Amino acid sequence: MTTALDQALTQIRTRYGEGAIRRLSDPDPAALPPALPTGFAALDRILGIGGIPRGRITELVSRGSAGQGSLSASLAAQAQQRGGQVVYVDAYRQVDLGLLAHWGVGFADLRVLRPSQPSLALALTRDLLAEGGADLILFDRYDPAEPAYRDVDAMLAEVTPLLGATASTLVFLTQADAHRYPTGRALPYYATLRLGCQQVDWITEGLALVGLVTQVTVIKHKLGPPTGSARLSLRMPADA
Amino acid sequence: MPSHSARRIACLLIAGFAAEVERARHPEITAPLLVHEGGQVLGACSLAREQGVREGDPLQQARARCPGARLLPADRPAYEVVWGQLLMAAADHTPAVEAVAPGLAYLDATGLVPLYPSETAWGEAVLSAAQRAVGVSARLGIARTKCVAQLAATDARPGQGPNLVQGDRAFLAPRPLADLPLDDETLRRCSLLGLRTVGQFAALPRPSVAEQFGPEALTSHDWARGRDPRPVQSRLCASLSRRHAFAVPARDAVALHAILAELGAALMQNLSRRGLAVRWARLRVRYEEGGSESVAAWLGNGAGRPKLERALHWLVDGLQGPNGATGWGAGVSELSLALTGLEPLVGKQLDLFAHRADRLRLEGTLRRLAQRHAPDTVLRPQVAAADTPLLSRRYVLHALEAET
Repeated sequence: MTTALDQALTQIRTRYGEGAIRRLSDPDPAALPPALPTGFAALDRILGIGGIPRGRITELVSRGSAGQGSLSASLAAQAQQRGGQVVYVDAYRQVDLGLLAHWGVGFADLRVLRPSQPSLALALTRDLLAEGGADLILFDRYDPAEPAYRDVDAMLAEVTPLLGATASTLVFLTQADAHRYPTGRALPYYATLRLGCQQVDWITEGLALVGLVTQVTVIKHKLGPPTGSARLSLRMPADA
Repeated sequence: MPSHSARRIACLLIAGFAAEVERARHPEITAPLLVHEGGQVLGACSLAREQGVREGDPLQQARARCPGARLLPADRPAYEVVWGQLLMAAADHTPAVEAVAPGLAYLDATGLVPLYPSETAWGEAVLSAAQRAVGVSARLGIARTKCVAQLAATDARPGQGPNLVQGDRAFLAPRPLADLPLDDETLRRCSLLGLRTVGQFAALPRPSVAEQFGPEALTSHDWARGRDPRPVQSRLCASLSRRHAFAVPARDAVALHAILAELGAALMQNLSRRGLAVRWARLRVRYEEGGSESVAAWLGNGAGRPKLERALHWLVDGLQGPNGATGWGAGVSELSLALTGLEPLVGKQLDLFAHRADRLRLEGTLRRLAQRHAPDTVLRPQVAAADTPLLSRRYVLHALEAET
């Protein structure tokens, strides 16, 4: 039985073309923004677009050991598998090369930017985006309470258009509590996607601790379902 | 005795570890004993603790609280050796030892039913092994979770056997809230709400705890309900050590080298079995005339037995003797060898796409950045030594400029 709405839709399609109107429930893969898979099917599924959006800012928020490093390493490996160049901005000189190697990150396609002090990390990232060439930039780490990052508003205003132009993806690894994020910070506004990570369980084999289970929750998503969570099993390097 | 499958965790605790070690080294001192470093108390013995002195207190304040205390400067290398010996002694009785800090370790006590007549017997075996190894009385608490095991160890009295807890939640219920790792603000708010004991806190619905005190309090709430999923992580210790006491003081270089080679071989075998490698060798000798000396050597990457033996020769040659000029020939009554900086193995990497256009473009960008900021701002990770078991030594970062 044809409803009045269906008739209206048919008229619009006839007049303006097939792609002029569609129900949101109808999948339209061609309309999906380009995404970088995370390497975890469960997480890609809840994100709705198959991964984190390319050419945008994504923020991974967690406090303490919650799999943030493993998730970002998996992102880097996925980017490299698709021919991407990855740059790791190591603001606090804490890059864990062993963990990156464990998740399959190739060092040939990885460069590390290590500013002399954390306050220069933003300027370095802005310059990198202005010059272009990096497909994925992992910014480790952003601390909203850190005075060194008080210029983040201006930096984000500058780099957001650059990201769109270069299709580079900027991922901030933020050390903060997802539920108690300081107010008045610019990053949550500029980020297209915000994910909160929380460790919920350990993985043990016999008596040995071999990994952790983290719950990744969508806090904000401009291009997909704004809610949802997925549990990821993250195994540590087998020999670490 | 719990069933085979029931998880059991033991907490080995020595409060004021540095002071207790000094007490064992100086049995003639009967006064309260304080070990200090940098103007602060590093360790306070039980007598000093009874008078209110705690680790971290300013030395002036500690002296005011405990006027008759004997003050000794800290000897951290010696404490590390003792701690390593104690952990090794404990490791003979458990499959997993997690060393948290000198004086605090968790032991896995799960599934020990077939090996010991009772859990108490196991605990006493651990305590007596620790006592034999280092001459210090430890406290042991055994429970189903780490949180309760530590509280049980705190309640136990040194030298009086292990403190066993069978029902974690019942054990926690009457205890004060301050036993949980809650911040001051949460404790204050709990007090305003009339919550005094762990049991009252545990009775709150979980959503209410999150709403009232924030998600950070949920961990403490879980612990209050006897749910502490943290397993014993088998981090044995940052060092392994062995000690040898000479019946007749050694004055012969050959004898000293032979004993050291024997100790080194035993330690290296232990490392190999655990899949670990070592960065430092530290030799400590005690002289017949009194006094002791400690020397250390960096073993570099991929240290094997030959490298260790070379280092041991070098260490012996470097001994100054009790007066700084007589050489080791003054007579060595005891020596201990500690291997520190243990790290596990990691894997290898291959590069199959060395000259792609997009990589070259990024290289150009990064070189301009290096010129603009600083040459060592842009770094290139690389596998330094594929076979070294040292995680931190396997991969290195080179400045990009060094690549050309």
